[in-house]
Amino acid sequence: MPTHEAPSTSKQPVAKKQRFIIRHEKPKITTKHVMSLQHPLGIKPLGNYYMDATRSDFAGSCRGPSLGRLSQLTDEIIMEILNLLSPSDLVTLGATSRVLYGLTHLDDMWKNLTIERFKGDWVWQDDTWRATFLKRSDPGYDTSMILKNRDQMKLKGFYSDTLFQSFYCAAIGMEPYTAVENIDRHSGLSLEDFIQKYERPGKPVIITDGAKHWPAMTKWSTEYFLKTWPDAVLRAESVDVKVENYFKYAQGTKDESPLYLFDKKFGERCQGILEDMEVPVYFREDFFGMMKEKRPDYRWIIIGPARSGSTFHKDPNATSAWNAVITGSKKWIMFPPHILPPGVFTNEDESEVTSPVSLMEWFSNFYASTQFPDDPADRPLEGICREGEIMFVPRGWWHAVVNLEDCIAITQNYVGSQNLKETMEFLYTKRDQVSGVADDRQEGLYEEFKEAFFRSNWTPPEEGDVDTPPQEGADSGDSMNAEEIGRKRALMEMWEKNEQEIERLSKAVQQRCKGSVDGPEQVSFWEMAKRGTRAEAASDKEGESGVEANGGSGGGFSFSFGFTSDDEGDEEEPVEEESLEQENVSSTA
Amino acid sequence: MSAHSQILLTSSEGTEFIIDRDIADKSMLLKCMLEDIGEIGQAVPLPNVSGPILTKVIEYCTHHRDDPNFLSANDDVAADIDEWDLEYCKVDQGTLYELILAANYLDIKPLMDLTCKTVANMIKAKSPEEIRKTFNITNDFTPDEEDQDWVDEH
Repeated sequence: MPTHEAPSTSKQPVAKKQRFIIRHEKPKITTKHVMSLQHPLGIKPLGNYYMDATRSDFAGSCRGPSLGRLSQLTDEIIMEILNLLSPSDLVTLGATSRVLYGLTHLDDMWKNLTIERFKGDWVWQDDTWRATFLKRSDPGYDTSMILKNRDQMKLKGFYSDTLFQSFYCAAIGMEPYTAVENIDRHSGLSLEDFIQKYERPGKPVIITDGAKHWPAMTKWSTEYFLKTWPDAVLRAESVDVKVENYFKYAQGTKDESPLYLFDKKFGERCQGILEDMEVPVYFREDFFGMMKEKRPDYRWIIIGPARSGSTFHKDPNATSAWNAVITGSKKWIMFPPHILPPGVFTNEDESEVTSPVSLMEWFSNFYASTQFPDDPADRPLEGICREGEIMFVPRGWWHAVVNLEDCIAITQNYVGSQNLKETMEFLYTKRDQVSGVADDRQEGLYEEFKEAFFRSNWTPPEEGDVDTPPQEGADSGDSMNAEEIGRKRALMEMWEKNEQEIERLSKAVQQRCKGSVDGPEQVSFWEMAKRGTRAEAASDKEGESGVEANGGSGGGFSFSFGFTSDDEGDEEEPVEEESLEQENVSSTA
Repeated sequence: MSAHSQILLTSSEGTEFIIDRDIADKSMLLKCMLEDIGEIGQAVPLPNVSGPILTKVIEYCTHHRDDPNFLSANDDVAADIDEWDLEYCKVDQGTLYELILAANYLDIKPLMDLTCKTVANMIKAKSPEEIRKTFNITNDFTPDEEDQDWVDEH
């Protein structure tokens, strides 16, 4: 598989597949071309006003007379007022003057109106949301004349950053941002190597032969979808849309942030589709599968045109994920868990993430600053994932993804041995941030998961199976062979070990907050010391210092070491000595 | 309730205004500024807001100072504007737009919503010619453009 092909070259599509947009030209990015980017209505950015003013044929800005007394207000404020108007008032207003024509034709505003009023029940018209809305409101609305006259409408003398900016972000495309490729790429990766080099340390990797053999690779295309599932309805952001209609939209839209199709129920909504794919061997250990149909949302089909994508986020419930591209290509940009991407804001526990700009705006405003950080280690990982390739997204990593061209992909989230503890900790300590289940299950998902985990006889599915098959009577434990029983025991021990540590850490944090110590907490610490987790306890300074420094009734020990919870370096030896002594005491008790 | 502390504001012409702290807090801009830098003995300059407009803004905030719903989003476009607010907005267009700009600058969302809604109501259900008259808009379409526009809308 070629690794450095430019994304938008017009290579011949594989015979059975067709892209759902045919691009006629590559976006141009030289300065000269940037400055001559033509807005379809001839609107220019404010900066051009000063340049045009030097020309002899300069007629000034039409804004004053065109807006009358409203010219006192900025374009943004006028847009706010427009958002309060009914659609018919908007249409009327657009007929009053040039500037109001331009402002009332801003398609993003009509997109919001359409989705608000009609949800997913609209038919894409004339490649604009405005026409789509008007036709849906009034079937008698004649769109044919618009198509004929569109090119002739030019708003000469209208300078507006508000209107030019979103056009510009959309028109410039992603090409300036696709050069960097610093994510490892592997084919023929062994499971062991994957775990050692990537999953355990938590490092992204592109598995270049990950989906190569999927039937989907040769089968899936727009035509195939429309032929096989003609009436399919899939989820696009907040609404359900007919797939046929969505493809029409995706083909013609000039939206800066196109509507993105992201459906978790595609397995049921498209009969037989799951047979065209399989979970790669690296990701088959998936403990959430033990919850069977009660597991949190975990797999999605993702379809979208160029510029659609996801802004920076971390995946839910501290799970890891994989993302396979069937057709098209995606640009990925990723930051490790402890580095917040520029332009992204979050509160302390990361329960709220805000990114005030669209993807294209983010690239336009912030990408450059990520390329030359003070510490070179803070640079993001970037790469392009192409057809047949699979991106591994380790738990907790910030990531943003943009489709560089029309793209169909499959993604799944999972919990394996390498991230079980993190997910357990998340479900245990951040119950209000748990997602992928109904609201009333958030509080108790940890317990639900634990119960399923201990009860299940689940083993990784055989090659070719995608779902963990729920088997009748499989929970009884009778049908397990010795090897399976041994494995099961190991899993249960792993859970218990993780749980103790989580409980200990969580209580230590609470203690530090409360500033007091309770008897029971210390007992559990000593108990753990008895069970030989001393080494871990010693290395976890946070947990201990909270317990010890506050003194206590731990069986007659004199806490004469005199360290406080802020001491770091001195604690290891003293801790171990104490533990040793306690062990002796308890064994004679 | 104990006496409120007071804030000093200066309008663009240099006129000083003394207002109670809780009234100043209706402006998110002032609220955050005061929280960040504490109370300063000197006046906060507002070069973007003239004296008469500042007076009007203070009048609005004072009237609504005990309003419990003040900060909840006033997103219901269809909801009627209450009597006092209606009267408050009976000013000439120039003043109305100055109020919008001031509410925007000072970040007083309810006042912004009210004044924008007032303008929207001036547009509602009018024909293009009536709208032009209301706002003194010039019909600057070329005859060709106007034809297409007409076709577009009908």
